[in-house]
Amino acid sequence: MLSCKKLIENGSEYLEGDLSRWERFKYKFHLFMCKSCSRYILQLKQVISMISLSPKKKIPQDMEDMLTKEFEESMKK
Amino acid sequence: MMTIIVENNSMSDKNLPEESELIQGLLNNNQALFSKVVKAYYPSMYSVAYAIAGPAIADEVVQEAWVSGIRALPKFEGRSKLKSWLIRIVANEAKTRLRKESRSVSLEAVNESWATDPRFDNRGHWNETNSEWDNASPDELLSANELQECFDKHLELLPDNQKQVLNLRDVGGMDMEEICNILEVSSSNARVLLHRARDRMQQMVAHFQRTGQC
Ligand SMILES: [Zn+2]
Repeated sequence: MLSCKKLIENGSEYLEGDLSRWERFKYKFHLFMCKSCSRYILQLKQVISMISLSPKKKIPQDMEDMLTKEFEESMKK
Repeated sequence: MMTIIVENNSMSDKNLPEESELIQGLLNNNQALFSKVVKAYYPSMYSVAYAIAGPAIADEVVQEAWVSGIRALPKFEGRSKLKSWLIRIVANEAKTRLRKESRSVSLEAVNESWATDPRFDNRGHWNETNSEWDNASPDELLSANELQECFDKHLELLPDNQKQVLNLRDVGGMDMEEICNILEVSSSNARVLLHRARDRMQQMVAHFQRTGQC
């Protein structure tokens, strides 16, 4: 059986679908047997969606104005 | 329980019409729609520009990317989503700007080892059970805000090379092959960097869950 440490190190490869069929099977089997690791993978997914939601900076007004003007001009042509 | 409250971005893509309607609207010179799109895509575009080119020129990069995007819009073929297309333009623009200023994407060695990970014993077993995350405490909202702050702080503290891959992948949604081309890293290095960054963020949240502290 894969060690938990090894499994954790390959967490993204598992989620990104980079493992071979057999590796994936072994991986899933470990997750099925091991609560700590299956929690880790759930948490990793959670973290990935938190990362995707993390950018919150608002557009500076002058950039918005400039781009709106640019759009207007460009679409006239 | 797996609920972690992530502040809802009011300017999110969810307020935008469906993709084909969106493109049609823009091509029909729908100004109001354009303004919505610019607002909705800005946070991700900025994060990608920031991760590659740094804070000083990130806004210029986003602006330049939009200008190129607007000009190329009539030729947009819809082979990818509009947002992915723009993210790609931003990433390339950021990289070009770096080259012009003869800085390079930082590529510190990637071989820092996992060997001494305190979470595991020498046989690779967890030292302590990895506990479930639970956010259903009375001061849920407050702690969620604190968690947010801590999360943002730790994202900022990631090494540059990890930040770059993480932003291109998890914020920009680019595929790994494109990321490797833009950052000029090998695919195995990019994968290691990506996972290190995600793992570090997982550890941060786990620590927060355990101790209530950043
Ligand atoms: Zn395990």
